[in-house]
This record gives sequence, C-alpha cells and structure tokens, in this order.
Amino acid sequence: MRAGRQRGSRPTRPAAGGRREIAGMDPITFEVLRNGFRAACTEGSTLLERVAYGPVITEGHDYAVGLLTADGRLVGHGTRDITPHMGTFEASVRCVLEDFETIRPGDAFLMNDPYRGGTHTLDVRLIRPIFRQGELFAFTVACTHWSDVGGPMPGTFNPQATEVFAEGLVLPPLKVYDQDRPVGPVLNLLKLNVRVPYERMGDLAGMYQAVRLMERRLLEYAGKYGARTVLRAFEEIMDYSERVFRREVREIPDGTYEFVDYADADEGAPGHPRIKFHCKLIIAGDRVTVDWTESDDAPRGPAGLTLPGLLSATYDGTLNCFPHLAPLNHGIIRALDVRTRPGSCVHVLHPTPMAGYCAGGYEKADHAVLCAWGMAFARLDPNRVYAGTVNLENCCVGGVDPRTGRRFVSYTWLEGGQGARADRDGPSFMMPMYAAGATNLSVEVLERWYPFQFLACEGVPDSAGDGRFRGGLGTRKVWRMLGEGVNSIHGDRELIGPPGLAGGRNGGPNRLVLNAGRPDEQRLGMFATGVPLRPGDEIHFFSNGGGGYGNPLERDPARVLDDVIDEVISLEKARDVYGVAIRVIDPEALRYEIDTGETARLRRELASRPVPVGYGPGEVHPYGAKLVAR
Amino acid sequence: MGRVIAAVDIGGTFSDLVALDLETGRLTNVKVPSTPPTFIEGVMDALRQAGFPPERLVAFKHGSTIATNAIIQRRGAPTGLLTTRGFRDVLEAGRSDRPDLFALGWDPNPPLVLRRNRLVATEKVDYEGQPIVPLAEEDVRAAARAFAKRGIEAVAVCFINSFMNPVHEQAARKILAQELPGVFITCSGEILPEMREFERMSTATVNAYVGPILDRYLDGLTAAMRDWGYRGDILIIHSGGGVTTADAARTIPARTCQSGPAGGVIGGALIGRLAGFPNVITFDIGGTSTDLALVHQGQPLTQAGWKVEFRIPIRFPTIDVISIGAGGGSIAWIDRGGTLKNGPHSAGARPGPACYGQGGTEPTNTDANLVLGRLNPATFLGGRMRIDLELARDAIRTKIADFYGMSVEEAAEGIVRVANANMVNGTRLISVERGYDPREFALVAFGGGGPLHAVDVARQLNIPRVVVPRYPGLASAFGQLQVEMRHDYLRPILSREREVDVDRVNRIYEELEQQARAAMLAQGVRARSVRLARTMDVKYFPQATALSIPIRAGRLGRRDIARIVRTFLERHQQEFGYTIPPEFVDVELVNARLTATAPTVTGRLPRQPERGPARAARTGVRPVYFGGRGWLRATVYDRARLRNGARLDGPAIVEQADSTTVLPPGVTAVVDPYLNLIVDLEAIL
Repeated sequence: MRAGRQRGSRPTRPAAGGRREIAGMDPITFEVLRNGFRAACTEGSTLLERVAYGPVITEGHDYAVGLLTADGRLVGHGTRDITPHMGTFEASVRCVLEDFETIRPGDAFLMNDPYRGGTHTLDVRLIRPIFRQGELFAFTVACTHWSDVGGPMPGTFNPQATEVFAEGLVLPPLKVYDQDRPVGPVLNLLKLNVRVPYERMGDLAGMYQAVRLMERRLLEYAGKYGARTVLRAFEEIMDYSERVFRREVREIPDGTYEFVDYADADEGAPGHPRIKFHCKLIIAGDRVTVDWTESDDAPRGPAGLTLPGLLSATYDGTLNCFPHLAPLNHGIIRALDVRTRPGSCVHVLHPTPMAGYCAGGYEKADHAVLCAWGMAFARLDPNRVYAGTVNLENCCVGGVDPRTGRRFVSYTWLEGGQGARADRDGPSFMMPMYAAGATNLSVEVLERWYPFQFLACEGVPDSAGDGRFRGGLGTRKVWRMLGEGVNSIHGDRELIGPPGLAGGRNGGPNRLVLNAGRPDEQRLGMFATGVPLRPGDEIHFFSNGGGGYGNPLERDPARVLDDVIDEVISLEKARDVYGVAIRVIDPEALRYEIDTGETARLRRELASRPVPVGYGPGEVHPYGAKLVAR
Repeated sequence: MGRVIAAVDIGGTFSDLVALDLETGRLTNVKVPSTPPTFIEGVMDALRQAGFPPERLVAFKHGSTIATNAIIQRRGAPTGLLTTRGFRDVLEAGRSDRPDLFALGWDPNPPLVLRRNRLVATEKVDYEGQPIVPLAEEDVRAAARAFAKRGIEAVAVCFINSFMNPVHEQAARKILAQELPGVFITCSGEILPEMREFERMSTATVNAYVGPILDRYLDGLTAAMRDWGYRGDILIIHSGGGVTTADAARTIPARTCQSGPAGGVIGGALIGRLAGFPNVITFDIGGTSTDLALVHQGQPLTQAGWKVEFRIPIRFPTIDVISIGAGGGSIAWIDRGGTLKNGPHSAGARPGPACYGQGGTEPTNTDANLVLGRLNPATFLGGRMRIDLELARDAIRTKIADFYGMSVEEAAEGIVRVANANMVNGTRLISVERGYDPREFALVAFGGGGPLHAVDVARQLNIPRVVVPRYPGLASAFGQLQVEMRHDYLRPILSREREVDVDRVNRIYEELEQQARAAMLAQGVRARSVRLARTMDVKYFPQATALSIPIRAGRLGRRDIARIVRTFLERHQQEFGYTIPPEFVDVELVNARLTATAPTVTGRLPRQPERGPARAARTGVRPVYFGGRGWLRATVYDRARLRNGARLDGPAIVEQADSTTVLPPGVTAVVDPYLNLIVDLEAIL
C-alpha cells in the first residue's frame, strides 16, 4: 500500500495518435512485456535484499540490478535500487564484451574497475550473459556495495589516499562462475584480500541468485512471446523514453542553463582547495548537451568521479526532473550528449583515487544537473525545481568488539533534510536524493551489532536551509564507544551547503565531532582517518538540512510560528532570518502569539540589509539566486 | 428457523451482514448503507432487516474499517508520544525512504503525532535489557502536565530497548495514569516486544491513536446490541485472520485495522478445502482493487506486519494480502508516450464506469467486459442496475480505439489484457516470490469481478484449476462467519544458535503459553479447546529478515535446536536458492512466537448432491469476443439452475446476480456437490 502525494505525474492526454502497432507488436503485448521486465528486475532486487549480508545492503539498499541488451544497452533496473550504480551498467557490460572473446552459457563475471565500468572499488557487480538457443540474448547485472574490499582502512574508504592502490582490490572482469560452477581460485583471491570474507561470499551468492532469477523470467517471456518480440520490446522501451524526453525538451526555451556546485576540499592537495563542478545544460530544439568541461582539474584525493560515475550522476539528476520516464534506459542515455575533459574532476584517470566519489563528485554533479534543469524549468513547470538535499557521509568504525572478541567494521550513514520545492517545504529525515530506496539504520539493531551505546538520533533545530519554503531538518546521531576502535569519515558538505534556490538559503552542514562539549572535544571534519577511539568516547554525527527556496522574509508568519512550536526553528531564527516576532505565553499549553506590528517592522528592516552570498551553509547560493520563478 | 450465526462488516459505503441458519444451512445477506460517524445504526439496521430475533443469534462476528479510517483520515484521538530523550523524531523519520526512485516531489503524509506532542524523558536501558540510566520521573510528570493542558486523550510510551525490558515504560505508565486519569495509555514493549524502535513506536502510536475511538465505538455497539436483546459476545475480527472478544480488542485496537481482507482469504480457503484443494490462491476482485492471498495446506500465509500507509507500519501478524489497483472500476488510459495503462485510478461508485450512465466518460474494465459480450446488460446485478453498452463503446472508442486506429473490440480486449497482466504480476508476487509454485495451486475466484478474469490469469501462470464458489459476491462475508478465536504472542530470544540457553528458550515458550491460556480463559474459552502453535523466527546473524520455523510443543532440548537450524537451512535453500554452512556464519534465533486459537461457533455450507445436466440451466447463446479468436458463439448458463455434476464446455458464460464467469474456448467446468464451479484448464495450458 502506498500513500503520500506525488505532484506533476498525473497522466495527461497523449499528444499524437493513430499508431496501430508499437514496434511490430500490438500495444498491449508491448505493455505486458514492459511491465514484465520491470517486475523481473524488482524480483531480482527483492531477492538480493532479502538474502544479502550486512546493513549496507539490507538497510542501506546499496545495490542495483539491471537488464541490458546483448550489445550492452540498458533496458531497465529495479524499482527500489539506488541510482549511482545503474547508470554504469552499460560500461560494465562493455568491459565484459571487450575482454572476453568467447562468452558461454553459465558464465558470470565479477568486476569493480571504476575507471572502465564502475563507480568506486567497493561497488562490485556481477554480470550474467543470457543465452537463448545458443545465442547471446541479453545481460543481467547485479551490483552491491561490499562493506570492505581490502586496502589499509577497515571499510576501504581512505580519504588520505592519493592513488587507487590505497583503495583495496581493483577487479577487471573476472569469470567467477564457469558453466554455473564457482571458479575456486578467483574466490580464494578475493577471500584473502578482504576483511570478513564470509559476508562477501554471502553478498556474491545473493547477486548470483538475483541475476539468475532475472534470467529465468526473461527466458519465460521469450518462450511465450517469441525472442524477436522481446528484442523489439527492448528497442521500443528505449524509443518510447527518448520520444517523450525529446518532446518535453522541445518545450524548453533554447539556451544554456548553468549551475555550479563545489566539493568541500581536495584532501590530497596542499591547502585543501575546494573543487568546482560546473554543469552547462545546453538546450537546442530537442537536443541536450551536458557540458562539464569547465569543471576543475582532477583532485589528488579521492573526491572525483570516473567517467561512468559522472554519466550515472548526469542521468540521475536528469531523471529526477523526468520521474515519469523511469526506469532509466538507453533511450534517455543516448538523448544526452555529455562532454567532459579527461583528467578533470568529473573524469578522473587511473590511478587517481575515487572511493569518496559518492559523497564527493557524484553528489555534486547530481545536484548541478538537477539544479541546471531547475533553471531550465523555472518558468515552464515549477514542479520540477528542487533545492539541494542532504549528502551522504560514510562513517566507519572498526575494532574488536569487547563483548565477543570478534573483529567488526561498522559503516553508518545518516538521514537528513530534503530540499525545498517551489511551492512547499522539503521533508525532514530523508535519504540522499540518489538513494530513495535506502533506509536509515535502527539504533536497536546497531547496539546489538556493535559495541556502541546510542544517546540520540533526532532532528537538529535551525539546520534547515531557510526560505519562503524551507528545506527539511538535518539530524544528529550520538553514540558512546564501549570498546576501543578506529574511526574514519568520508563525507562532504561541511563547508558547502546543499544549494538553496531563488534566494533561499543553503542547508546546514554535515559534521563529525568527537566528544562534543567535553574538554577533549575534537572536530574531525569530513575526511579524517585512523582516529583512535577509547571506551567512553562520544561520536556526534550531524547531517545536512535541505536547501531553502525563495526569500525567507516572504514566508507565511503562521508557518514560522508552527516551526517554532515544533522546535524546528528557534525564536531567534524566527526573528533574525524570517523577521517574525513571536510572544511566548504558555509553552506547556502551546500558547504563542505573533506580534504583527513588530513583525512588519522587522521584515522592513531585514529587507534593507544585504544577504550573505556564497556556497556555505546559511548563505544564498550565487547561481541559485539567478533562478526566477514564474 | 434455528440457531443463527452472523457476521457484519462495515465498509466506508456499505455495511454487509451475512447470517447462516445452522439448522437449515440457509445463507442470508443484507446490504445497508453505512452510517458514519458512529456506524452503529447501520449495524443495527442490518440485523433488524435480516429478520431473525436476537435470542436465536448464538455468535456475532464483526469487522470494521473504523480504526483504519481514523488513521487514513487523521481523525483519531489527540495523541501524545513519550520517548527516550534524544529520540523525539523516530516516529516522523520512519525509515527515511521514499516510494519511488526519482520522486523529489513526493511528500510523506504527516505523522500521527506532531513533533510538538512528542515529548521525552531521560532513561536508558541497554541492548540486553539492563537499566543503566534510571527513569527521570520528573520528566514524565512534566510531559503529563503538558499533555493535560493540550487535551491529549491517548499517550503512547516507547523507550529504546524496551522490548528487552519494559521496566521504564511500566514506571512511566504508572505516573501517567495517576496524572492523566481517563487517558488511554499504551506501552510499546507490552503490545510488541520486538526489536526495531521505529516499527514498535509506530505500532504503539497507532494503538493509542485509535484506542479511544474503538473504545467509544464498542461501548455504543455493546449497548445497542444489549438493547436489541443480544447477550452474547461481540467477537471482533482482527488482521491476523482471527477474532477476539471486544474487551480484548480494546487493549490492542491496532489489531482491528485491516480486518476486511481476512474474511475473503478465510472464505476462499474454506471453499478450496470443500472443493478438494488445500492449496489455493484467493483472487478477489472488487470495484477498485484485486486482493490476492495464498493458502498452503489450508493455512493462509501470514506476515509479521503490514503498513496502513507508506510510513505507518503495524507489526502484528497479518494475513499476507497483496492488493493491486485493478478492479471493475479501474480506468484504462494512454500515457504520454502512447502506451495503454490500466488503473490504479478508479471511477469508484460515482460516477462509476461509463456504462452506468452516471456521467462517467472514462473507459473501465467493466466497460471493456461489457463490450466484449462478457457482461449482459439485461442481467447485470440481477437486472437491478441498468447499464448501457453504447456508452461503454463510446468511451472505449474515443479514449482508446481511435488513438491506436483499432476496432472498439480490439481496444476492449486490450484493456482486459493489460488488467490481466497486472493481476498475473500480482499473483506471481504472492506465490513465486514467496517460494511457491503456482502450478500446485487452485485459483479461487470471487468478488464481483474475480470469475470474469480468473481463467485467463490462471492460464498465464499455468494454474490448472479455477474454483468459482456458488456465491462469489458473498465469499468474503461467508469467510468472516468462519473465523476462529486467535491471539498471537511474541518474545525476543536474540541469541546465536551456538550460544543459546535452551532453558531460557523453554521458559519463554512456557510463559507465552501461560499468558495465552490465561487470556483465552478470561474470554470464556475452556482450557482444552485452546490450540497452541509455536514458531521461531530464525535468520543468519547479519540478515535483516527472518524465516518463521514451526516448533514442536513441550520441553525443547539441544537436539531440537539443531533440528530448527536444519529446517531453517532447508527453507533458506528452498526460498533463496542457497545456504551458507553454519561454520561460516552464525544462525540467530530471533523471536519466539506463539499462536493460540480456539474454535468459535461456525457453520457449514450444505451439500446439495441433487444432480442435473447443464442443458437444464442453458438460457441461450450469444457472441462473446476472445482475443486471437474474435467473436465466438458462447453458450449462456444461469448459475441458479446449475446442479451437481453439470458439465460445461467453453466458450461459455455463466450468469448470476452477483457475478459472471467467463469460460474461454477449450476449458471445461463441472459443478461439485457444494455447487462450486470447478474449471479445468489442462487442455489449454
């Protein structure tokens, strides 16, 4: 059962008609097949989630499955998967086709090479060729985030890395199942090089079952409707998406729509400079060019994107403005002409490290595309304009659990604020935009799994980006160590907030602070490694609030009062940013009053003051401010 | 006239009564308009119209949507939440997910308790249940003061780790009860001692939110029934597919949500058993949706919880029902890219399908079935409802056929095919995805629309038999009559198999059994009528979801634990296709579960062995459109005149007031002694 409101997706009347057939089949068979492919992928991801090991997959949903044509074009993916993976599947399959002259029924290939066909070393994919009557017919792919693929740091994330050699194993396509038998030596190589190998073998088994389940479904359809009909349906699925996409693009005024976002720091370079991600969205008729060439050079540290990762981010940011065209497929992919400069931060080359790609470059590119489309749609359809949303932080703690004597590696993340929309607030406590299917982590589960004692997990007042419509609240999670351990953090957006739009403020910061409020307080930033933890140490983990939309002085004072009552914003913020004066009468009875005279005076006064312009939390984003709504 | 049992189901629009005379076997059905906001007048109207005096009524079972509607419409009691300091937003955060991958425009519905009424108290119980920070009683008192001033009528108390030790929740309850007399209080660890704070908090909050509403309703209903003259128990149907006494329902009101689909599943299971099929998939098509459930060896599949809305889980065992947006009123439409869609939008009761002539212009499944000759305008709903073929044709022509340049019949057939494909995918979810092979099941088709679509759906899944009960429209209500008393209990074990303390496991089961027996006794059930069934939730330690393994009764030993692990590994292999040897990864025993059931007064459907040939029920021949075949001459039969042993060959249509059965060419059907129609698909698979 699904509730909640989704705007802008109610079907409209079709524009054109008169076609009796779709791709040589009747439109009904086509619809049956299209739903069938989607159902097959969903079955695959459901299976993966139920059998896989570790909270990264079962709770974080950090996986995706996909269905591709025999020449490696994407047809569809699971409906609960996270999006960074699926845009790389075409590149993954291409690697298999390039590297293996003969591919046989019963083969399955494992790879994670980020430069040629992946995202970062932790995202490992299994690629299954599907044969029908001896001929290569299609591919299925399953990809999961492995909690560790070796390297010097538990959990593999290594913000200090300046080369990929410090980021664990890099796997070119390796045949890991041969005629459906596991290839022992390859598995042994893996087991010797990763921490907690049995969990990884469980992950692999889950991926293998998922690609085979999708294979069975696809072959059932081929048996029932004929292989040629299925292949034609593949093509029509792509043509369909491309057709609608181009039709809608044609309605956008020709022009260049630009957005710039920054990653906090290149940890590998002296002075830790911030890194620019510059998206130029060029619309000409129904042609779309996404030009990234003005982005900064590749960082030395692991914050950039490989080309497959950039493409995936470009697709995700785009589809968020075209949600009715999901699932992503090659029809959208070929309608986007993506331009890069090899060796830049959006197209890093071997051996530049990239383990932090997701919180780093991916999230920046994703937002830059999303907001560039927002600029393009500003006057046409404000329902497609979204301010910035909470970014991921990968917080790893490794050690030996004093309760069991076993080695553990915990990998935690945190929900936060979603960006405001043009007509309403962003929701609080949400996953990053590219991880809709992921879930937050249960404190009670974590306390059993790890030697942690949780003290808080709740919203942080005043963390949302202010605006006529504000972003959602950021969250703080606090836990105490029961044993010794080592902490590393790989995140971003402590210094650069999720972008606000149309004069709305950027969202509040991600942060990690050890022993906050104690004499031994230590701000760890977003890129610490090897921080020793002692029993009793307290980790304070904060997440971004969402970006705001529009001038906060235009927010309805009644909404400001509601936020004060709910302790989403403080009285001070109501006064200083929103210009609303509130009298507190009896908080126990929820009695408050707006001082209308003082509010009018405050708003006049604040309107005459300059606003802080910049990329930091609470500032007004310079590009976002250029957005003028209808 | 003899003793009577009756069940009343309150829906948003209608209240349905079904009564069975235990002596004559006669079934009575009464449908009256529901009477919001109290709904009680509707129940009493139905009872009075049914025409039996109160003293003949020996059992009264009752399902309602009152609790569910209170949640969906946000009309529950003003509710407060008291939780551990630092965890004020667990309820609102939910699991932080969104229903669609690319949907930044989506908004979660508002939580049942706003942030302002989610208050906190300092306390800490660790993961093993040891209190390590005492409960700050002054925090609880402060919260009580605020709740009192704010007119709060119900409070949910949910502290972190309370499922391991509810001591602080109980202490808080004591204070709240003192400070807030008359307020409904729920403690999470008491109603659901299960790990995961959000799901437990959500369940407790729902319980509090609907508690005062259900209390008031049951007070009113009990008084009205007494005034009418009924002195027996009012048995309330709950989501687990059982009934409980009204007094027990008041302590766990959240369980009374989702009582509707349970009746259909139990009715379908019973009909399947009578027809000789212990394994059935129930296929219930109403106006807006299709409900699917699976019954294996006579037992409906259950799951550990369900969701009222996307972010409102209730973690009580529930019959596993998949509901898809495909019913008689579901609208066919063409999307922006030019493909044909069916549902989930529905024309509802008003304006209804185009053929109803109530102003609807969108083509629905009912319109398509009418155009294809499957529905008969003259006999629709027994002739009580006029439907207009031309309106249906117009809607399909203008909205669908013209766009594709198709004939109206082809378009109508396409609409039905897309609907059937959605139903096939749903059926696969409830069977294949749960590890069951649909070929080993019979499809029991009911609801007004089930028999129209069932044979085609079964064919696509290679299901060899379809069973159509004598009264498809009453199957669900009949199922409600048959519901037994049922209570479910749960306690965490949370121990690795290698380290498990078997004595502790035995103690847990014994305590659960004592609890169950005491509850049954308090509800007037004799001890020897109580049946107890144990299961255990088992998983690999790192997994998120567990499998439910049946356990034998009596004292368990180490060898029983080993047997549980072996069964778990077998089931894991069967459902997921692989296992990992326990040497490599620990197996965890998660929860002990106990289900207590006891019989209630139920009735039997009478056998009607009198034989008769099909031709005696033949009313004529009419053209019916079948995909790939075009218009065929189909024999039309009157269901009311079909007797035991009659044999029908497709193409044929069987008409009755509450439904229509479609038999495509190549299938045969026979009537059994319970007057079920058993359709054999072997020839077309």
